[in-house]
Parts: sequence; C-alpha cells; structure tokens
Amino acid sequence: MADVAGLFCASFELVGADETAVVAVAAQELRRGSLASESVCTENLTPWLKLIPGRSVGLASLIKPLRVFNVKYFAQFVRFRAPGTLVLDLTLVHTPEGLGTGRVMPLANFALPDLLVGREAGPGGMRGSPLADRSMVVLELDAQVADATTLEPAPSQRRATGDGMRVDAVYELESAQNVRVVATVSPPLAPALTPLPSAAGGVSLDRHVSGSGGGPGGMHTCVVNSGRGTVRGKFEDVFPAYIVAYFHTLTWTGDGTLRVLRRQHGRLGSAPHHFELAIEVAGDGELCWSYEFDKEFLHLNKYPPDAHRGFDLASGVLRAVRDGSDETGELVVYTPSVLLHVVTPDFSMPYNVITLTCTVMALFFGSMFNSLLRKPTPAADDQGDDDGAE
Amino acid sequence: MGLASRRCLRAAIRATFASPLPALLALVVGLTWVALVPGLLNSTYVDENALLPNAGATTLSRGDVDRALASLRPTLALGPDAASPAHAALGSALATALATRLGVRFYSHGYALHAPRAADGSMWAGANVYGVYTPPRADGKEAIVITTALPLADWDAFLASTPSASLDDAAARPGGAVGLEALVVVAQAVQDARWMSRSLIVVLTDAPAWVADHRPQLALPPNLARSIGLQAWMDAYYAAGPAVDGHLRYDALHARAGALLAVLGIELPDTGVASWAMDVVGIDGLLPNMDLVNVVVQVANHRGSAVAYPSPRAELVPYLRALVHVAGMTSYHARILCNVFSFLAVQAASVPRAATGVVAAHAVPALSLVAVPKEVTGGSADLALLTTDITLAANTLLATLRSLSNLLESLHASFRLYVLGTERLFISYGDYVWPLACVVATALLAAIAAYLRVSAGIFAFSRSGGLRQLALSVLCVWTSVHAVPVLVLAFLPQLHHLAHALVPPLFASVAALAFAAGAVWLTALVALPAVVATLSPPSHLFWLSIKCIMLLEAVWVIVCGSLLNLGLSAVFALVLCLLYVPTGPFVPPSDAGPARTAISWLLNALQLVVMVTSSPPVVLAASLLL
Repeated sequence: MADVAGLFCASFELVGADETAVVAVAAQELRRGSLASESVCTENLTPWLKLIPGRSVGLASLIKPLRVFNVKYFAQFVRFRAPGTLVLDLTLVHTPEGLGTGRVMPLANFALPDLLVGREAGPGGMRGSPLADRSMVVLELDAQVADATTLEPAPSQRRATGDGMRVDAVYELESAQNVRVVATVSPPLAPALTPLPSAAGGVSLDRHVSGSGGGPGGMHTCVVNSGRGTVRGKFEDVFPAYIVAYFHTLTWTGDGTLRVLRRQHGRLGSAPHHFELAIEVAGDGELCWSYEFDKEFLHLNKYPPDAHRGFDLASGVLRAVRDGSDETGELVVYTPSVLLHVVTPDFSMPYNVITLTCTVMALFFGSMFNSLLRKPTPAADDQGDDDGAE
Repeated sequence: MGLASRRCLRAAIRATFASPLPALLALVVGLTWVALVPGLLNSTYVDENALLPNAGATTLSRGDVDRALASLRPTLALGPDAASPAHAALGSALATALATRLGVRFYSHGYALHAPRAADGSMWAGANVYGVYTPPRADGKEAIVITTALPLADWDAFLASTPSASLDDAAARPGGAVGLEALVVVAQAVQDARWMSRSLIVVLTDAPAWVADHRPQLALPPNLARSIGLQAWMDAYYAAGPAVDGHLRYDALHARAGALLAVLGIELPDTGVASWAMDVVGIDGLLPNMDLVNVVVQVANHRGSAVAYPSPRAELVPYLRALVHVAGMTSYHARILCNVFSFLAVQAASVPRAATGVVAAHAVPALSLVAVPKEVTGGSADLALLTTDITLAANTLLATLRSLSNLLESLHASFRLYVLGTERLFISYGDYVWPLACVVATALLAAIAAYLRVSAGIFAFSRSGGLRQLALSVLCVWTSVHAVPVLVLAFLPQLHHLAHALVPPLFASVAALAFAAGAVWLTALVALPAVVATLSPPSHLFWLSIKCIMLLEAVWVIVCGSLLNLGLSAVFALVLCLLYVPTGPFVPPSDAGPARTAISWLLNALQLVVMVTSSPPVVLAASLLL
C-alpha cells in the first residue's frame, strides 16, 4: 500500500485498520477500505499517464494535466485485475465554454480534442498509439442529444445501448492519421433542470446525515432507479467505529425490498463497521433506508487538526445489475461522502490543566520548603497562652 | 506553627466567616472588576487579513445589479398558480420562477405553526422557498446559507410596485421583496464566479400573515414573523423526515448540500436604508465564530461602508446608557458597557434577537445584516429602497461568501465564547470568568459562614432529640421548594412536550445531571452534621440552614450554568449577590426589636425568593418554558 501511495503521490497509507473491513471468503480474506477525501494534485496524474503506452502520441497525448484539473469533475482509476491486467480509467466532466453558468446558454458545437487539450493547443486531433494493438474512442451520447448531434467525421460504428437511453459512436484510431471529431448540436441545447440519466444506467445514490451538533443522528440513504427494469444488487458500506451505529433501528421505505446481508460492528481503533444490504428497486422507483447512530468520544490524539470542521465519511458503494438490460457487467454507483460533526473536546484544556497543576504544585512545594527550611525558635513564653487558649 | 500564628489564623477564620464584610468586599471588588474589564481591553480584536481575498475585483457594479434586476422582475410575474391565496401554491410558483431564472432547482417547503392561544387548535401555514446550488469546485459536503424573510402575503404588493423593469423608481416596496432581489443577484453572481468552493443555499422564509397581524396583541417575540420560517427550514434540514405533530410541523426537504458552514441573513425594512448593522446573538458557546463577525466587518469596510454593532433593536441599550451617564462614565466606556450588559441580558433570556438566531440550536454560526431604516422626514424618495441599497447588501454578502468559501475549517472555534462590546471589540470569556467568580464568591462566603454557624449551633446544644426535627424540617422545606417546578413539568404534558421541542436534548441531559448531582451533594452536606448530633434547634438555626442550602445550591447552579449560558449565570450571580449581601446580616430575627424583626423578616423573605428562583429546578423550568 505504501508503494502504491508513493507511486501515485496519494494518501493510500492512511487507509489503516480503522478504515479497512476484512471479510473471510473461503480461505481468503477480502479487504475493503476507502478514504473519504483526497487532495488532488497534478502529481497524482503524471505517474498515471506514464502507465499508458505512448506518452507523446496516442490517448495519453490528449490528456493535459492543467486542462484536466480545470474540469468540473475528475476521477482517476487504477484497477489491477489478475492475471497481469491493468485497467486505467479517467473520468472528466467538462462543460463547454458558455455552458458553465447554469443559465440558458446554447451548446452549439464543440471539438472533442478541445475538451481535453483546449483550443489554445491548436487544431490538434486524436491519433492511435503505435504501441497499442487497438486504439478506440467511444462517444456516449444521451439518446435525446444524439438525435440532435451531427458528428464530423462520421463514426465507424454507431450503436444504441442502455435500453435505448444512450448512443455510442465508435472511432477506431490509427497511429498514422489524425482524427478531429467535431460535434454540432442543432437546435442548441439548454441545460435541463432535471438531471439526465446517469452513466450508471439510470441509478443514482443519495445520502445525508440527520441530527446536528454532537447529538445523536441518523444515516439516510436513497437509491433512485430512473430506468425501466428492476435493479438488484448489493450495497456495501464501511465506516469508522467512532459512529456507534444502531443497526437494529434500520427502517426502509419505497418501491423495493431490502435484506441485511452483513451487520458487523466495528471496534474503535481496530475495525470499522461493515454493513451490507441486498436491495431490489423497481423501475422508476426509489428505495430509502435509514438507521440511527451516536457519536463516540475519541481520544485527544485521534482528532485531526481541523476537528471542528467535522469528519469526512467515505462513500458507500452499490454494485447492481438491471433486469432485462442488454448491458454487460454490473453498475457501480457511489454515494456522496458526507461531513459529520462530532463531539470535540476543548483542545486548550491540556494547557489549562498543566498551568493549574503547576500552580498548585508550586504553592504546595513552596509552602513545604518554607516550613522545612525555617529555623526553629524557642517559644517558651507562648506555652501558657497556648494551653489557656485550648 | 507558633501560638501567635494560630491566634492569627483563628482570628482570620472568625473574621472571614462570622462577618458579612468579606462577602461584601468580594461583591464590591467583583462588580468593579466587571465594570472595568471592557475599558481595559481595547485591542482584543485581531484583523484576519488572510480571510480577506475579497479585496480584489469581486464587486458588483450598479450596472451589474441593474441588469440582473431587469431580467429578474419579469420572471417573477408568476403564472396563474400565484393567483391562489394559498402559500403553498404561491411558494411553488415562486420556486418555479426562480428555477427558470437561475437554472438552479428551487423547491417549496411547507410548514404549519400551531396558533398560540388558539382554542380550536388551528394551524397557520407558510411556505419557504429554497434552492441549492453546488458550484463545480464544491464537493457538496459543506454549504453556506443566505436567507431573507419574504412574507408571501406581501407578494402582491411587490408585484404592484414593480410593474415594469424601471429601476430608478422611488416607489416604496416591501423590504422582503428587495431582500429577495439582493439574494438573487448574489446567487447569480456566485454562478458566474469560479472561486466558490462551497455549495450555496438560498432560503426565502415565509411567515404566516397571522403572526404579523396578531403579534402585538399576543405579545409574541418581535422576530417571530421573520424567524419562524427559518426555524422550520432548519429543523427540516437536520430532521430525518417530516414533522407531522407538535407545535411546528413541516414537510421533508427535497435537497440538501451537506453540513451547514454558516447562515447569513439579511433583514431589510420597508423604507430606505440609513445604515447597516449586524446582529450577533446566540447562546453562549454557540455564538457565531468570531471569524464570521470579523469577515463581515472587514468586508463592509472594504466596500466603503460601515457595519455597526448592535442593531437598533437593542431596546435595553438606552436605559443602560442613561444609567451609566448618571454614573459619570465616558460615552465610549458607556457604549461598551451598555453593549456588554445588553449582550449578557439577551443571552440570559436565551431568546435570539436576530432572525437567524434560531439556527443556534443546531450549532451553526449565523448573523444577520440588518438595515437601519431611515426616519420619516422627507418625501417618498427618502423612503424608497433603492438599487444602491441592494448593491451594497449584495456586495457585502458576496464578499463574505468568498471569504467563507476560502476557509478550510472553522478557525478559532474557541472564539465562540465571548461578549461583543462593539463591532471591533470583543471580550473573551476567559477575561470575564475571574470578575464573575469574584461575584459568585460573595454567595459562597456567605453560605460557608451560615453552614459553620449551623454546625456550631447544632453541636453546642444539648442532646435533647431535636436532630430529627431539624433534619426533617430542612429536608421538607428543601423538597417542597424543589418539588413544585418538577411537578409542574411532570403533570403538564403540553409544557413538557414544548420544553423538549425547544431545548436541545444534550443540554437538558447535562443540566439535569448537574442538578441531580448538586442536589445529592448538598443534601449530604447538610444532613451530615445533623446525623451526628441530636439537638433541638432554635428558629434562627433553621433559617440559617435554609439559607446555607439555597446559597450553596445557587453557587452550584451558577458555576454549572456558566458552562451553558454565561449571560444567564452572570445575571443570576449579580441579582443574588446584590440582594443578599447588603441585607444579609447574620442576626436572627428573634434577637432584635419588633421593627428590626419585621424588616429582617421582610428582607429574609426577599432573599429566600431570590434564592429559590435561582435554585436548580426553577432555573431548569424557567429555561425550558422560556
């Protein structure tokens, strides 16, 4: 883990026992851990790009770090799949110029390379990597957008996917030929107030935490299935043990069913909570569940420097398939991570205790030394008065 | 230790506990210290330049605001749904209009308030309108709320006053409508900004027209009409679902944006703006972070305006100012002292003055920008809320948002314990602990003296079997005094329910635990001497026992309560000691003549009332009911 963290300049080494759930599967141990947040940097991308065959040509040439980190959403994946298979994913959500304000602005046309390298890089194009057996670019268009979009040059293949909700335009790239794809949308599109069907097959997850301050709270999660077929899958959640989760308070409502597969309580400092659900959500339906929790007091050194900001909770993940779908593979959808306000101590209290203790000790030892070092003097005259007073 | 030293020690003990002078001295020193602290701390406010990236070009010009308003007003000419007088329909129509205008989803949030003192149990409905905008650079985990009160009952007046897009008209418009315009201008500007890294939630709070109409007759809090909608929205934000019963019922929210970083409110009058002030009032420990106060003050200065503290709604200030003028204090010192006492008094009442103060229950820092209305001296032009006012408010809000957006955390969280003297001077909690402790020591000294006298008296009497009488008498009085408020709470379910709805459970639990521990401790303290002695007590011993119990209990309450509410504890300490020490001679009523006996009984009764009212159950009941 430390090697991977060093390779990608990421914080993987912070995934410790508190964040890692261990599940025994047959004779093996399956571990799942995640961090709620990571400060991104171009240093995360550079080693990732070096894993792509061909740095100056091919797909890697399309990815300019400054342009990549200027997008609205950025996700970078490295998947190790046995035997000896490495899958690299880079997800960018880019809004063409003029569509960033959320108000009614026309989306006229855009060139695909411009989204990645920018217009300032000149009229470039896409070219296949000479080291690759096959280089391919697939444009996934929403079905409604695809009808109004003209692609120039025409893709080598155009196919409907996702139950007809999307259209894939496939370009086979060659190393000797530049391809500059220009998409023209007519009539211009206005941003929709209702979200478009997500790339995850119309399945979205939402989560929020109820309760404020340091008091008890509740974890509320909803799966929205905007597709037609029923979605079946497993929801998995791993969260730290400073949340005292009351799984017996689990309740759910909505258009589906829910069954608890795993309910493993964590131990502070050694294991997180591990919660698995088998869910089934009907088409165009929503399934919500919630449970209550309390917040544990932590040891002083367990708090981060910005403890008053709150603690980030990592995402839960849903792996599901849709009935009747022609898509292969499972849908993987993550919940948003949330910020949880926990009970924080008065961090200045150690200072107060130290100063007060030192004051008391100084008074005690000062008085004691004063008494011990004082020279005894005869008090014969006082004896009679003393007796009389008694 | 020599004999002389022992004699001196005995004399010192006798002088300390057998005379009211030490207690009186502690009171005088404490009060003087309290009065002098504000004047001694002039430079406690620290400029946080690191929080002011807004010194750049993030400023809306008059033209920007004009263009935004010109495009906004036709949008707000709502459709046929708005013809319905129902708040819910109007709220939905307004949400749709704002969503269309801003490209951000807006929602209507309905709530209902149980009409106070209404025998038929009728509910009065309102409809908040809110929208959540998550900018590209935000992760959706933290949000800043900007809010203003927009009574939908005024909507027709707003539309009637703006029939066209003319911006220079001097016609008076409802302040809530102008607040709406300011917030929409800010929201639009934030959408154009690339620096925003927190989500922005715009909340337009509605108030049932009934509240505004009946507030004077029913003596409802002045800000109820402004704050009730915000309270419903905040409760819904942190709730698991809708509230279907209780005094305040609300629907579930459709959208959230993570933890709330701060709430910024804007309160505009229906007339022109003379100046701007801010209201920073919450319960001690839940006050807005000092950074928030600092940012608003600094931002306003950068924008060429001034934000003063407190707002002109501090009704207590003129009386205090007159009082300190009589005492011959300088005006600067008097102003600070007035503000400090006003601050403490409002905290003691635990009734937030600003409309945004209701969010303190959720531990969210908040403050309100309050426009000070112009006095009615000229024509209608003087009374109009002009675009200049909107520009100033929008710029202040926008720059404050930028500063808050750059904060990585709630810096200086311990700065939530303070007393605000002026907008540029705060007195830290730590600076006020010692003078208040000196004041509290007055009661403690008196209580210890009474306890010693009781113990000495008990041991001095013959063993005639009066122990049981004394112990039972003390405990009976103590129990009866404390049982009344507890029984009131226990046997009035409606009050009980209301109390639990209004007080955070954690605070109630901590307070109950502290009070229970104090009661057990004090019972043991008083009962122990009586157990080891079997004597017949005279009447003044009985009186001193009660006084000792109540004073120790009051000290316990004040010390514990200061952790939860500094203002309330300070007020209790001052009232208790002012009433007790000057009239607290250790002379039993039976030892004096008839006139002095009557006066002593009267004063002792007064002291007993004060001490009973500061006893734990009474304090708890009062705080719950208030």
